[in-house]
Amino acid sequence: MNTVIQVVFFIISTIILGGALLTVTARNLVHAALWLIAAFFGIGALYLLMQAEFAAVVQVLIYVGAIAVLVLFAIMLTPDLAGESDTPIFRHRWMALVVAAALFGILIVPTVWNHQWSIYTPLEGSIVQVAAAREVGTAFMREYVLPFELASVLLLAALIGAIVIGIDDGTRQRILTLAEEFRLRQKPKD
Amino acid sequence: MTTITDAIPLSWILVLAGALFCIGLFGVLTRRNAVGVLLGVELMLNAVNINLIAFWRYLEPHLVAGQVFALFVVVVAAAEAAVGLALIISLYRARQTVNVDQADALQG
Amino acid sequence: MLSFLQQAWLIPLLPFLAFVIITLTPLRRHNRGSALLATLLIGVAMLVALGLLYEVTDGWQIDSNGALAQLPVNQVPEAMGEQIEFRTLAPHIVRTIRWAPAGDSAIRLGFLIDPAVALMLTMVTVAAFCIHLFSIGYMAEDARQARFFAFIALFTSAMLLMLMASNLILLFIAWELMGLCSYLLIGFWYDRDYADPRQITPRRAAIKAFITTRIGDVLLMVGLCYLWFQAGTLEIGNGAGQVFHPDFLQRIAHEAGPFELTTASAIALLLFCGTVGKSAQVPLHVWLPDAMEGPTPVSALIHAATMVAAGVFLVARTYPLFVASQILPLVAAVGAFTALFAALIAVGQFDIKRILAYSTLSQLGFMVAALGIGGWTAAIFHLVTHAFFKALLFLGAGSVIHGMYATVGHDTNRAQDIRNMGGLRRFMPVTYWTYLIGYLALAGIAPFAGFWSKDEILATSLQSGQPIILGALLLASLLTAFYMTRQILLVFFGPFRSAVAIHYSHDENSSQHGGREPHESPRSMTIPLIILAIFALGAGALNLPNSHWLSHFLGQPTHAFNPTAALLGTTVAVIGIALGFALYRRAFTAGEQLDPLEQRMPGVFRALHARLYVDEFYAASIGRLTAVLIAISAWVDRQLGRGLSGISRITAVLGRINASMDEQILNGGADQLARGTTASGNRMRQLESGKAQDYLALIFGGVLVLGAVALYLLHG
Repeated sequence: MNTVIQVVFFIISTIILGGALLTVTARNLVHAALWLIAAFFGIGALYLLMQAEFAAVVQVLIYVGAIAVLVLFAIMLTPDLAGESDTPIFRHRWMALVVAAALFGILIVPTVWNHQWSIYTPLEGSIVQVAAAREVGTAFMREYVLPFELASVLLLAALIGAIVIGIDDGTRQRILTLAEEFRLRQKPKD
Repeated sequence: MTTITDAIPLSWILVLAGALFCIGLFGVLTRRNAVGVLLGVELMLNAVNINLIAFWRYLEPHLVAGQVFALFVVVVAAAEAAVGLALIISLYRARQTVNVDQADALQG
Repeated sequence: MLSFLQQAWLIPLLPFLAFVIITLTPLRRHNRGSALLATLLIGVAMLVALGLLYEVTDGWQIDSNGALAQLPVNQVPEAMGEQIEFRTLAPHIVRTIRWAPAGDSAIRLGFLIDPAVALMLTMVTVAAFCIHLFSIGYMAEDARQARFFAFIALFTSAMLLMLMASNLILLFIAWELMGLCSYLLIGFWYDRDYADPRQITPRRAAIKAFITTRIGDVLLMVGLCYLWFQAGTLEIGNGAGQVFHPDFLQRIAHEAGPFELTTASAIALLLFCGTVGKSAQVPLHVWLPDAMEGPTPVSALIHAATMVAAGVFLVARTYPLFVASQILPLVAAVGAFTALFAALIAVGQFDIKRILAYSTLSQLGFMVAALGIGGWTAAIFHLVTHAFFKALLFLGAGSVIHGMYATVGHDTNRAQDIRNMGGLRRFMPVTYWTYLIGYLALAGIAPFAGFWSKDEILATSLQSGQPIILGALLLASLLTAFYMTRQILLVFFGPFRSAVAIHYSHDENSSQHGGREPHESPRSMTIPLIILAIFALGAGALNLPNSHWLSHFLGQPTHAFNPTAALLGTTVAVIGIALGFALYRRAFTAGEQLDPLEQRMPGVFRALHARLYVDEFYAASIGRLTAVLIAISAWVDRQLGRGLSGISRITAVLGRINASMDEQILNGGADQLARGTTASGNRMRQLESGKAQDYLALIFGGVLVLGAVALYLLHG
């Protein structure tokens, strides 16, 4: 059973890391966005493996369903990007590679490896209680109700902000009243 | 019943998340295209979320704080993506490009 | 009953509410409405603060269970000898919330009221209210008025929050918020340019102030982190689990820390760096005079009365740490040196606001010196009286400038030059009389507030047996009386020297509304002057030698009235006034162009006028250093070639940061140097383009370095 889980974990890891690598290196942005979706799916599967079903569903719904689609739309709305091949896509990648690799190599790996995490060990024979979607939902309505409401305000603000920023100046006009509309149409006839 | 905690040490998942973070960072630093930069940021945020869920599952699975925090990160990421993409479209409209090299107003 | 103690949180909340309402509602398009709203809410906050002061004076106290008790009036012993005695009082109310709980530990943030805090709250709200009221008239013609009132309301809120913070973290948050507001307000007229490219513009002054105080702020933050590591808490108080717990102080006073200092000394030194930045002590004083580029009410509120006093308050707040450390002599030396140094420079200035700015530096030096020699009460006393009379002087200067606009047009340089003034007492009687009161208070003449507080500082230094400190402070008092006499003679007495502008105006200045006689300011500006003048006159009554009300109120040892100190202080003040009167009675009349002091000692005066070349010195030292660094990085770049362009890119970013630092901190000379030193350095600067990704790479590079140091060096 352990072996099965390990094999599944390695498959999922390969999907995540492979998808992520291709996301940051693909020359075509549409391809990059599609690889990103693959990585998101992999992360969702990892959540399932860790018995966080609710987080997994949210991951698929929001990241794959909303954010990735939003990105694709943005790519299509700004047309000169998709086939941008004459200019190099990357700028001074060596510095970025050094920074990223060094961060991984000298900070993250040693920290993770050397630290003794106090692993939660349940009593012999007892079943580990894993908080399920029901507990998460209850928590949102009880002790986390204020952050929950704040998050909704944040989303509303982002929604309005995105509309205000994204709106074209040319279209930012008042909708005409019927009387004005009527007058406008009459003018050419005079 | 066997679960992931028996089969895989916590550090493996943390290294996975760290690698994902660094890949995302690489993308943010190298992409010339603003949308590409945003993709990298999304990867970095997801790496953080994996960490949160992993710590929750291994250290205190009976509580909900880890999952709740991860969900808040998702909310903030959604807001960030919406505003970010609106900014990119607005930038495109103003300059006919989404190349971050040309958005150098920080030079002052 | 006793609602004020419980409702103290309203005091910072009300101005913050004003900021929020003005910023987020359509009120921001309504100049008059936003001005009135901000003033009204500050007024309410002032009433709450006054009620609070009343209750604290009565000794009412609410403990953590909500039970009410009345403390006996503090009975304090008389100070004995040279021993520094400081007593931490029990707070009158503490209310906190758990913030950022992580596992079992949480940071407790909230407010704490003790007598000193209640006094400071009253002082700040009264001064802020007067200055808001004044601004209604002063800023009446400004198109961005709503923005102005939103910013000063936010600033006031941050200042009040800093005063009553129960935790040094909250104090630091408010401290940084004040720095931000200061930046925004110094650069309020960000679109203003001057004909002379060497003159500092509001934009650059704002950046200079921000970066200079940042040096102190970063060190303060390091100090707070260090304190946190040592104490495990940053809560203010002397109970268990608080930073002034006697056992903890005992431990750090003797424990060896870095650089052969005790731990307490290292912590106190780092905290004091924050004070040096915020209260503009030498060597980080260069930002304050240039901060006068902001609107005058801002100079009065932030750069004279309140924010710059925050540094002094920080030392006063963490005084037990300083007492436990060995750096108090250094504090005294820095303060006394600043007091003397700034008073010297003030003698050579012509800009009415800059004279007051250097005077502020000098008076802050007095307070810091007082803290350094153990005069805690004296420092707080001088802080309060100085806030009133310096706010009064600045607002008076604002009124004068406002009046001068009528004659010389909206040209700040001409309107603020005291050589263009003279005889204004005939045109502006209310301003004149109130300014005169402020002047006498600052000079230290007997019944005015400044005399009593300055006398207390002098008495403390006399008693502590430090002749050098005493001498420096006495000399600074003499110079203070001298330059203020010079200023008031040139501004209010003699003939009006810009009268010539009235005759030749219509051809040149007609578009700038100049060419009329200066006039008295509207009532909304004179009423605050009168209120502040009453305080400048009467605030000395807080701690008269026979009652020692303030010492009892603050629970600190009293000093017996020292006739020698009073005599010395009065003598030097009178000498200063007499000297000023002798020199400047007839200055600039009959077509003279030179300052009388310049006629007698041209070299000395020119050095003073050039602010003793401190800016030039920084340009030559730090500026040259950055130029050398740029040259080195350029050389490295050439040697390594294109193969390692990543490293060179980072050095290029470094070079650019250095270059922009010397552009902005050290305007003028440094720029020349950087340009002259190496052409390659300049090329490197052009390579860099202000791209967000480069800055991000730099940030992560910094994270790498810091993380590697923490992981591999500190933990072996």
